[in-house]
This record gives sequence, C-alpha cells and structure tokens, in this order.
Amino acid sequence: MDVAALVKLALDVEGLRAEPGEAPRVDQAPTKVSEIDLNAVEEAVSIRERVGGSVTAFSVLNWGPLSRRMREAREAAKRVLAMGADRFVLVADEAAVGADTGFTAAALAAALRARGPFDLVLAGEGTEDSFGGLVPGRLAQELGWPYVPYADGVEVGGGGSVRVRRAVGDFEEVVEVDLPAVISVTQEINKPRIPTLMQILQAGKKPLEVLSLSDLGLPGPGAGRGVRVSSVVSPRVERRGVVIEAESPREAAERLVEELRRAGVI
Amino acid sequence: MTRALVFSPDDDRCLELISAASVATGGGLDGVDLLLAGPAGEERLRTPSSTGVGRIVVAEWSDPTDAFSVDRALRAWIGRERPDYVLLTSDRIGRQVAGGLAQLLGGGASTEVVGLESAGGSLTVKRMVLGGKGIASEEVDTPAVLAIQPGRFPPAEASGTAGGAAEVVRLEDPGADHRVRIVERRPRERSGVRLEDAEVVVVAGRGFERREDLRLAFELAEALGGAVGATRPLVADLGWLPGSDWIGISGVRISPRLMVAVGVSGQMQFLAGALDSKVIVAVNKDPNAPIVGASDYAVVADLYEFLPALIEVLRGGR
Repeated sequence: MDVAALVKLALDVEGLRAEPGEAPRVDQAPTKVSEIDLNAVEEAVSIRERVGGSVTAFSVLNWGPLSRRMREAREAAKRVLAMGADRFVLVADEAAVGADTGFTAAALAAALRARGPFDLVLAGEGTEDSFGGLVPGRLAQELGWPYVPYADGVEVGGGGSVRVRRAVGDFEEVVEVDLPAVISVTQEINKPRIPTLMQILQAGKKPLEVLSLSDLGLPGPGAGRGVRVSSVVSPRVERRGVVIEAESPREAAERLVEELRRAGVI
Repeated sequence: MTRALVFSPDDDRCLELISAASVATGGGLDGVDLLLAGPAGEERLRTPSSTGVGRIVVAEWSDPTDAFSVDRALRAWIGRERPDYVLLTSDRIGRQVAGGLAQLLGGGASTEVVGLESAGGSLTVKRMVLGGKGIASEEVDTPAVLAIQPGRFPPAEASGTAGGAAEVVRLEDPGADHRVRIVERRPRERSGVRLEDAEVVVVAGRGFERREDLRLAFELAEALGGAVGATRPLVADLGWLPGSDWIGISGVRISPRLMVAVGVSGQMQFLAGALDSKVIVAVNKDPNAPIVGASDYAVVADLYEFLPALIEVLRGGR
C-alpha cells in the first residue's frame, strides 16, 4: 500500500513567549513537527511494515521567514525519515507562507498528484499551533476521496478498504472506507517510535525533495478568497495568582477554603 | 440577501448558532435556515420556529449523531441553495464536515470560533490559536463555514414580532456515499458525569504516583460536589481512568466554576482545554510549574500531605 503522511511544521507553542494583550513573538519561536502528525507518520510506517508498500511524507511550509523555516524543515524531515518514511516532499514557497487551509489543501493535492498515486493519506486530527483540523477534510474534497477523521485505530484488510475505529460524540464507531481515502488520526492510535542513532544517520541519505508552487503549476493564493489572519494577540487571562504558603498542610487547607468561600466559589 | 445555514446535533446549541448567524448575516434572522436532522414533529419545531428563522429544513432520514449522514444532508442543501455562511458547532461532527464543505463552496473556514464581529460588510472571526497563547482575528470571505464553540452566543429567543411560524421545508435523501460504511456503533463508555457539564472539576495529573492514590482526587471531588477528570497521560498512556476523556486541546474542554488541578504541571495542551474555568486552584510540589502561574490560588505542597488535610477541612466545615 502506498501511503502519504501529511506533516505540518507547527510553531512550538511551549517555546512561544507571549505577553497579555500583545502579539506572541511568532517569528522568534521555533517550529517542529506537530505532535499528532508524528502519530500519522508512525501509523503509515507500521502499515507498510504490515502489508508492504511505501511511505511518502508531504509538508507545505506555512510559517515564515522561509530561510529559517527551511533549516527547521530539513531537521523535521530527517526525523520523519528516521522514523521510517521512504521520502519527504516539501512544498516551500514565499507565496505559500501564511496561506489559508484551502490553499494548503490545494497545494497538497497538487503535490500528491505529482508524486502519486497513493492509496491512503494519513494526517493528524489537528495541529498544535492552529488546531483547525480543516486541511485533511479539504484535501479529501479536493481529491474527491472519502474522509474519515479521528481514527483511534486503522485496520488494513484485503479488498481495497480499511476499517477505522473512532469515537464521535457519544458513540464509538467502526467505519469501513474504500480506498483511496483520507484518514485523520488521534494521539490514541499509537506511540510514535523514537528512531535509533543508526536510523537517524541513514535518514540523511533518503530523498528530500523541495518543490515550489510553480513546480506544481499552482498560482499563489489569490486575493479575495479564504481566510486572512489580521492579528493575533495573547488573551488577557486575569488570574489572581495568590500563592498560599503555610506552616502545615492543615493550615494551608484552611486558608484555601477560606479564600474560596470568600470568593463565593464553594 | 445574505443567507446562512445552521446545524448542530444538539437542538439547544442550534439556538446559539441562530444568534451567531444573525451576527454573520448582519442582523436579520429571515436569512437564516436551520437544518434539523431526524424526525421533527410540532414539538421540536416550536422553539426554533418562534425565533424568527427563515426556513426550517427537515431531513427526517438523517441521524444528527452520525457525521456522515449529517454531511450528506448539509451537502444536499448547500448544493441547492449555496448559502453564504454555514454555521456548525465546533464538536467532532462540526469539525469533520467543515473542511469538505468549505472546499466544496470554494470559500473560507474557521473552527474553534469564540467570537464574531461584522462591520462594513466583512466578517471577522476570533478563534483561539497557539495552544491558547493567542486569540487570532481572521477576516473570512464568503462563502464561509464556521464551527463555533459551544456556549459563546446566547440562545436565540422567541421573537414577539415575527408572529408567523418559519417555513418548513422537507429535504429528500440524496442517497448515501457507498464508499463509507459504519459497520459497528455503540454508546461510549464514560467514567461518570460529563466533564463538560460539571460545575466543579478535580483534575489529576502525573503528580499521582499510583493508580490507587486517585481515591484522594475522588474524595476531594466528593467533598466539593464535583467530578474527576485527568490529564492525557493518566488516561491515554497509563489507562488509570476508564473511557477516553481527558482534558486538553484535543480532548474535553471544560468550563467549570472551580477547577482544582492536582499534580498537574500545566502544559499548554492541557491548559487550552481548561482556560474557561472561572477559578483555578493548583496543588503542586513545584513552585515553578506553569500551572502555578496560570492559577488563581496555588498551594505549593505535596499532594499526599495536602489533599487529606483539605478533604478533612471541607468535610469538617460543612
């Protein structure tokens, strides 16, 4: 089975500095592979190990500045290749920086068509930095393939279909979907493997292909369509920040209960 | 006229979306169409009908809890009417269908929306990003699909002036996509109260050393009249609590009156699911843990010493 895994270079939110009411310093924060996309890569590699085939990772660079992000993208690609992906296709273009999810999906569809065919596309259910969860569904629509999100398990049978175990609302479901299909995964599906030193060294020899939008025959995202981020500010979360210090646990407990009663919470 | 289509699997949430749609369409409700999936008799139609929505679209054959069936109903209406806005709740069903519908309409989309502002014919959407560290303002072109977080808009009320009931339109089943088949379905296992609805939530984190020690969290929750939740590692990695509900950006979002985070370090992925808590209490050994800075009251203490004392004070004081 030929599997494509979608990988986003997401902003590392843990390393992001933010002052209330101001814009978080996005340019200064590093990017890394979005956690849940690592689960998608792991699932793709384990499917190949079970039934054979190939794994290609695809990524569209969304964050600028491009020069810096390219460096981070090479590192990210190395990690994904070390986990067992066979090759990495990176779409990097100034015009794609800051593009909306519709454009990202169109770029991914073009890259998938150019380097395909694929039987299955796997992606994380959302990315850490944006958590919109829109790209996989948009991509499925763009390709005309069925879309099954939130997989907690994927079972590859014969006969050109897979079974997806997932939870939606108050129900657990097993969904059978004909291939080709797009499936998004949750963090529950597996534990991404930690590559060995040998795998990391070998990853450097695996193919990393960088494509521009013109390589894919795509114009830049047109004006007047989609979504434009006009500003990002850190929320002013007003927390009281009272630290309760006391001689004994009992005293601390009494003081906390007193505070909570005074605040009318209990 | 600007038209909006509204759907939520929960009829009460529909009323919130009707309010949101009124903002998106610039005030008038006669441009808002409400999709009701499943059988809809007089009773079910009465409340939404009285709000002044334009049309109520009834897809009797559709199951509001089945995302594929909902998707089919939405696509049937969208293909026919091409609404300018599609408003959904930002739950798993809403997020499943939002991307595909937006690409179908060739328009913008935002999920996890917490606010809407309409000015000068353009719509600005506010949503939480960067694991809760940023609120992004996004200008969204029409057509647009918006998935809105529950509880962000007041439910639409019965309008005195509308008088007449909304027009009811029956939507035919366009037929299933045979490429996708639900072969098994059963109700989810839950560990107790729905955390989303709890007024007080005690959250257990990695500070608990053994599974059996969680009884302290349960005793505290009992003393406070609340529910017990956990961070992701306790549920997903350790399996210490049944079910699959943990609190976080990719899990359950809670908005209790009081959250007591015990032995929780306070990583962004967790905090983003708990930001709407009115009052946050942190109990942690480490004064530098991020949760301490994100709380209203922090007790720097060993949970094994502090929790028994707190439970005793709460019990004794009542």
